[in-house]
Amino acid sequence: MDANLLQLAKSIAEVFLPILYVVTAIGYGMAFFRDDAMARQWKSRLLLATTATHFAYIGLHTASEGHCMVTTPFEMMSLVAFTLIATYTVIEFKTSVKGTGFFLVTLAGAFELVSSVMLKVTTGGEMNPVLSNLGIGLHVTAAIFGFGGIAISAVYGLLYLLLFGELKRSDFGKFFKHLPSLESLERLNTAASIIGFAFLTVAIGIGVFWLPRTFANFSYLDPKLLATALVWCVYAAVLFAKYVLKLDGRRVIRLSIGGFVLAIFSLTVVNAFFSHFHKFY
Amino acid sequence: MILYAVGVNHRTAPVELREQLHLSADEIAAALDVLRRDGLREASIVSTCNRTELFAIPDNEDIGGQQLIDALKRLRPSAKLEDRHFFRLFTCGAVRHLYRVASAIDSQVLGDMQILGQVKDAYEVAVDRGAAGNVLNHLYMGAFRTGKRVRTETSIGIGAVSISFAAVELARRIFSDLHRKKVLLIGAGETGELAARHLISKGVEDITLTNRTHEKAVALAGALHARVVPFESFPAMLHEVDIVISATAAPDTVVKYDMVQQAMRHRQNRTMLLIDIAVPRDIDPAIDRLPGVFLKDVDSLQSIVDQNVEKRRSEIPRAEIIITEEVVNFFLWFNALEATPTIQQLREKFEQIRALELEKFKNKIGESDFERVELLTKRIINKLLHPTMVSLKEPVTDSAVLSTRLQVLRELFDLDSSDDGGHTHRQAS
Repeated sequence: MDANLLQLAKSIAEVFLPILYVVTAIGYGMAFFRDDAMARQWKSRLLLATTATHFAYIGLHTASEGHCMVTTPFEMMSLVAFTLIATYTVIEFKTSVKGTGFFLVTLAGAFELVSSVMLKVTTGGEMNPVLSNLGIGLHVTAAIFGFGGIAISAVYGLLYLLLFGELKRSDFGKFFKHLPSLESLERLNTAASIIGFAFLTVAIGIGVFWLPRTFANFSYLDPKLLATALVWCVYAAVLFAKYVLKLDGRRVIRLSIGGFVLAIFSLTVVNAFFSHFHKFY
Repeated sequence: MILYAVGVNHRTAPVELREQLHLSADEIAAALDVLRRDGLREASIVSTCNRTELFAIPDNEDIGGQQLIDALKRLRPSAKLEDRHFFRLFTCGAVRHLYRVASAIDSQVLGDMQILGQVKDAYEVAVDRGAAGNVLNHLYMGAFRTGKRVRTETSIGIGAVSISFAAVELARRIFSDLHRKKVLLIGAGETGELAARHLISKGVEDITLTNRTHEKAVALAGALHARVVPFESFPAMLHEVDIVISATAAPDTVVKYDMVQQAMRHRQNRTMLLIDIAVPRDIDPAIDRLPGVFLKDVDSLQSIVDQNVEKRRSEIPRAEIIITEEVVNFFLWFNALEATPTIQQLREKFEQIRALELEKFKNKIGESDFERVELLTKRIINKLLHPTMVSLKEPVTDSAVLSTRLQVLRELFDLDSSDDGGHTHRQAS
């Protein structure tokens, strides 16, 4: 494809993608909160359109920039958003779990909005050649899936707590009407936690093994590494509480949401103090 | 041609009178034969526990609403039904009524879509007896379409509207797969049985039953395919079950705090739902504080029912819009029927003139030329009549417009001078 044409297509996708996320989230919100018939009819089509557009955008971005979207935290945020929306698309079309779209699409949309805005501000720099290293590629990919997994786990955990509250209070509102059962939400929360934990383990493992060999000034005291290790510990505790201590669902879920909050802290606040993703890069 | 609807339903007569007029499918079939012999061109009867309603088109104008009510009364001479217990509707009112019935807007339990199946049954009986002609066919097809649209395009049938079904709805919001859940039913009364039956319909297979009077439990267990445990033994197996439904007439609590506390410890706080549909309550309310336990009583379930009823009511305006659209569709077609005799007469008149004029030429030209002229004249007449036919067959929203058009046409072409009453004796084509 002609380079100018490629750039134009990428620019169009860049503009339309956040808009699509917002429209899809509004559609799901109107279906959930207002039971709007038109929103119910169109939301799934909007979801497919957004997922397809995001997929195309990743392709266009990769082709036009000449590297995968892993060079900055904001590029990675876009990939996390895609992981979330693609996962939800599979959940909506392949399982009986319905009614959770608004929450996952909104979270994915938030990631994508931040990514789109910040990429506009920060793009243009040269890519470090070290990022084409296979080990780094696997490290980053595993981290993206890991963060995607725990984000999904947190959304289903939060929905579990909201539905639990309505059931306990006998205040049978929107969550009672539209969400899947507590058991389904707990199962999704656990499955996503396990997947997130597994990928974080891989990301940290590769990081610990490969990064010291790649970066001369690698430090085990890197704040991002420490924060991610802390998130990993929280999720290890979540799974321990669930499968060994057999704590009830609500307590386990609260812990997993705590892990997600920590992960967000690691992705945003820590980054605010460093110009690079890690202290050593 | 007038379409009538007469009958009794839950709005016009109390249950003790409605049940006297209730007809089985065989009785409806026999009644349709009688009614058709008595001068009804088309007829059908919808009979459920809440209504017995006749939809009919009489052969002549001597038969009206009152005659149809009398005919229904004759089906059950012993019933103490008076005219005031019957409603009577005609034309637009009759069509709208059937469409509202098929949409479950007129049901005692708003949105109870079982009625659509009952309306289908009524139509099938009418078809079997040859009592459903062109008009009733269109009417019922419209009713089925309306019912289906209302069911799919609105939420009128969504949500539990009975205590027993609300219990099931609650269970489905807590557990994902009722198929694998174990249920304990305490008490052998009607409410508990109904809740258990609803749970079975949603996939529950493992039900245990207990009751102070063991024989009653055994009798009900057969119907529910449940196993029975002695009343004294149920606390010992409480940890095995996921859902407990208690509906006894006991004056004191039957399920105590200690029992459930011990059971929850045994099942490592895996979620347990306890539904107390007894008054006075069977289950100690303090149990709700135990981790992993959901305890719901009649008031909680009633609040689910109230919300669902309110939600269904709020869907009525949307359903009415669909009904109005379908009523209009029906009358677009029905009004066009009025034009059929005039179209026939007009065509016959043109054909007569053509035949008469051709006759004069028959012996003056050759046979092959005559055939050509005959073909030519037929084509000319068809082309002349075509715009008029199309115009008359076009659906109209106002029957007065069509009547005026027909009147003008009949006067212009002098159709009434040779009229044998076609206008008033329209046949449904």
